[in-house]
Amino acid sequence: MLLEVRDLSVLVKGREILKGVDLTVGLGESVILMGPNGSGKSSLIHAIMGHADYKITKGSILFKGKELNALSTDERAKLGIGVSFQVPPKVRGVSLGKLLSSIGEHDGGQEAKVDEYIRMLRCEELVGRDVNVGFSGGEMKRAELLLLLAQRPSLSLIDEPDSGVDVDSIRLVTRAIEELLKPKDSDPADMPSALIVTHLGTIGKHLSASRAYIMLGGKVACFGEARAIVDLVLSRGFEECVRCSRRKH
Amino acid sequence: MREVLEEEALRADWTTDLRKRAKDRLSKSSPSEMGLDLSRFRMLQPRDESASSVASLPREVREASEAVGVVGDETARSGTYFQLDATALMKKVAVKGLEIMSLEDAFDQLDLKRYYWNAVPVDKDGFTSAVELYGKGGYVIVARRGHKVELPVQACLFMKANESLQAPHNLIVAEEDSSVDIITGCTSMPEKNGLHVGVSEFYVKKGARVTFTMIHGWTHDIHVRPRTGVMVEEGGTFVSHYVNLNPLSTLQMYPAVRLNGRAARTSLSSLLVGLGKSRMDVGAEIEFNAPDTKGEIISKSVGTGDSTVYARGRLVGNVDGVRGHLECRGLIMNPKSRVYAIPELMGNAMDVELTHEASVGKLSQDQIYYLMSKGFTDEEATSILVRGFMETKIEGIPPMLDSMIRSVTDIVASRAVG
Repeated sequence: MLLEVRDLSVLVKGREILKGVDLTVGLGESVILMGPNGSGKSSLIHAIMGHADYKITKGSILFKGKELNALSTDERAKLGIGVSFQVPPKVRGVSLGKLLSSIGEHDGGQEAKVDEYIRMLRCEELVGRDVNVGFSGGEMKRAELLLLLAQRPSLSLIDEPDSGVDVDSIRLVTRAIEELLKPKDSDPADMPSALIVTHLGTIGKHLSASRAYIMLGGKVACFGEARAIVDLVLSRGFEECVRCSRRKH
Repeated sequence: MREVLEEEALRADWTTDLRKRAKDRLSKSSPSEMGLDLSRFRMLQPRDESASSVASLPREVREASEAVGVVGDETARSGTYFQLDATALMKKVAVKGLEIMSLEDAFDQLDLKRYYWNAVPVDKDGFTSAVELYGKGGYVIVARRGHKVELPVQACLFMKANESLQAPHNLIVAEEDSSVDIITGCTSMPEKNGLHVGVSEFYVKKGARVTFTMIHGWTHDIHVRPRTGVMVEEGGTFVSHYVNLNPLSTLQMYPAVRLNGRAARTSLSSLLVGLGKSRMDVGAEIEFNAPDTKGEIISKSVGTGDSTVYARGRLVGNVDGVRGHLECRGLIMNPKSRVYAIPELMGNAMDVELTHEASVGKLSQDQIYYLMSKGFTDEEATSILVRGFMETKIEGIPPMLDSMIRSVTDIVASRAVG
């Protein structure tokens, strides 16, 4: 397994947000994570990435077999985890282009590729602007995925790539995620993976994911073959999951 | 003041009244009012010395002045003024339509009456009075009517002598439809204490454009009291940017720009970095005295170490149809540092549009986490954000100076992060 989340409980500012979550992502696999607002999807992303406000009280997170619990966010990034934020903060005075080249300096530079990604995601107009300042919903998602492509992580945590995004952007976002999942030129054996959070499930129809999880109230309520789960949620909503999970317990 | 109390000869007959006003004002200025005891400092006399080029200056002087933007490559400049303590070492002009001289020479060569102490009152305070009574040197830069001076003009005010007062009086005149870019670097030799009081008066005539970049690189024990006044006539533009590079003892300044002619414009930006135990009280004021005038003040302050920074700004709208904006941002990097942002807006007419944004705080944890998730360490993320905070777009500054300001800002950002 590339990522293994075991019985993970997390406190945020004294409140228990995750309550014993188990989840895995295999090598080269893309996994969809669904659930209603406030069910803990984004919290799981930030717990994996190591946000300082997210305190692990129980369980563990393993990546490439290494326990992440005590590592800082940048150490996790260097191990090969990247995140595309649902609502990234504005960074005034730092242009998207500058941030891209700073990331490039870390990774020994893949600038030719980055230029290609800029065109692919239609970010030509954005690179000269301050990161996320005055970006539309779709522009933010595209910029986040562009930054992620510059990083080329082994595991991409992609938070709500389809919310607040128009149809054209959905197409670009889907292409970017497919690109992220391609084997790296430098190491064809390293099959990148993704954990994709979606509230609406829209992106689930565009991507060929293998499995899907449903979270409810800080726990995994259900998981299984992606297509079946996404179709179920899209046709019957999360209320059916709530009823179903009550029946199980 | 030591060694200088004997009366000096008048510079010109018409200055008699000015000197009287200065004397009256200075006699009423107590050390407690001024926050400094002037008698601590020696007034130096100019020496009979000159330099043919920046490159010919002693290495230590050259290197210190290079750090504040004074370049040795004079082909990149339209002219150079270099003052070491009280001595104007260089007054060089390389292009037509531009004049550069010391104030003393200007008394002989120009009709100064229209400009001398008209943008800054001679009896504004004890410091301006001291400049009139005991000041030495200062540059006079005149861009002649219709001349666009392409390359920047550079000026350096350098303090070398210990326990001294450097008190230059600068006059900058941009005649009708002229334009000129000026960069002034002020610096001192390490471990000297002293007082620098520089008076600068700017006269931007009809349709003229002046950009003024000032870089200060003082040492720990220097007190700095610039006094600046700017008059802008119809359709004229004045742009200024100030940045300090080093810790100093105290800095207090409050340049005032008066937009006196229709459609006059100004943009004043500053980057104040409180380093070490520096105490800084820096503001800027714009008076809107004519219709269709526009002005902005952008003040960025960073508190590090035990420093205290007061960042003031005032917009005064005196007639209808004026627009002004004030941005005052403070970043606190250390629990012992203090930043006070004090914006003021005064509307003295009905149809004025004056706005401000002010904020003081530390770096946002969300932004640091965001950058760390992209693979930057805590320190790298902090550096990126501090540099971003300091980024200010200066309208209409020539690319050559813009890139220099960028590299100076990079240095300041790295010092602020420590």
